[in-house]
Amino acid sequence: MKLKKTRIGLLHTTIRGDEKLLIEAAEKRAIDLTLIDVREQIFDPLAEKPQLDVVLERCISTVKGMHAVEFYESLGIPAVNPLAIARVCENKFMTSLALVRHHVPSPRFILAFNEEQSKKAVIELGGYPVVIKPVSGSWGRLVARINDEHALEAVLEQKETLGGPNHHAFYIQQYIEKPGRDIRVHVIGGRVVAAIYRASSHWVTNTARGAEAIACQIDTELEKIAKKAGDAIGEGVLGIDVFETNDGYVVNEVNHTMEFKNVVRVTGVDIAGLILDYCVSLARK
Amino acid sequence: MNIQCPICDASFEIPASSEVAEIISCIECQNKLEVVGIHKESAKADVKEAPKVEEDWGE
Repeated sequence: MKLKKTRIGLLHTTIRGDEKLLIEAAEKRAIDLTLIDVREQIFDPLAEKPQLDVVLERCISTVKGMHAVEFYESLGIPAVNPLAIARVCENKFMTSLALVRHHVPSPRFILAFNEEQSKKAVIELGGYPVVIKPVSGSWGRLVARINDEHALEAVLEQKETLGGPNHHAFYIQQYIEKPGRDIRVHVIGGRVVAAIYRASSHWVTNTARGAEAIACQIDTELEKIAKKAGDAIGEGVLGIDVFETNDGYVVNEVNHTMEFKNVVRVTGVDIAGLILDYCVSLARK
Repeated sequence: MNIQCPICDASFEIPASSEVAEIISCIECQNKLEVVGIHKESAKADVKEAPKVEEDWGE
């Protein structure tokens, strides 16, 4: 009996090296992969239903990706990651709240909407330095280390004057001194599958900002905290950012459309294949 | 496949496995380009300047 191929819709905007790895991995498996450039789609729920068993969201644009996932889920097609996960991960405040709710060690944080409250909050966080981040954003962009009250006033004024409504929500996080690196852990379907160090002499350690990817051995504690963070966010395909501190690991952020080509390069773990295998396990029967 | 950079006019080859929507760099001016069409019969591809990073881009 011929096995039916799983039909996966790869939702994308521009195609990066990560998506190329997914395309290559699909060719090695019994997968019928359809590339769907969401920029070119008309999302009409009354039009013919797409013949897909599952969609894999890999859009570089969060707004476009979330709308596309909402559309396919509304048609009864499961998505990786589901909208419920995207909603938590695309907003750092929501991510942090989910981590706290599930008792996952993470840096202290607050959200405030004005300067006066922000100044009070810094004291609550233990004083300067602190880190201000946009509630939505990635690749370490517009992240600012604030060393004193003067810098806080300047950055908040700029955010209020120049930024859109999202920038008027001040997400402020305790500054964590890192050993020149952080750790990106990949969790797929509840399984911790790979980790890399992201090493940099700069305090921002995103590979998008030039940090070097180095293979990281996953010890018991790292596996435990990554799994716990994954459980807090929901089962899916997650990139979890972890800091090493004197008191143990803490989870900084969780990403829902993680880039992984550097992880594959330095660890040899077939992340693309694991993502597709996970998608097949969720496909509509 | 052969392409011509719309910014500096350089002509160069990209891999046959290139996909529409893939981002490549011009070998001359280093600008980012997006593949927008592939013509396998003539071994040519169309490209345009890649979109600029937007606020909601990321992982």
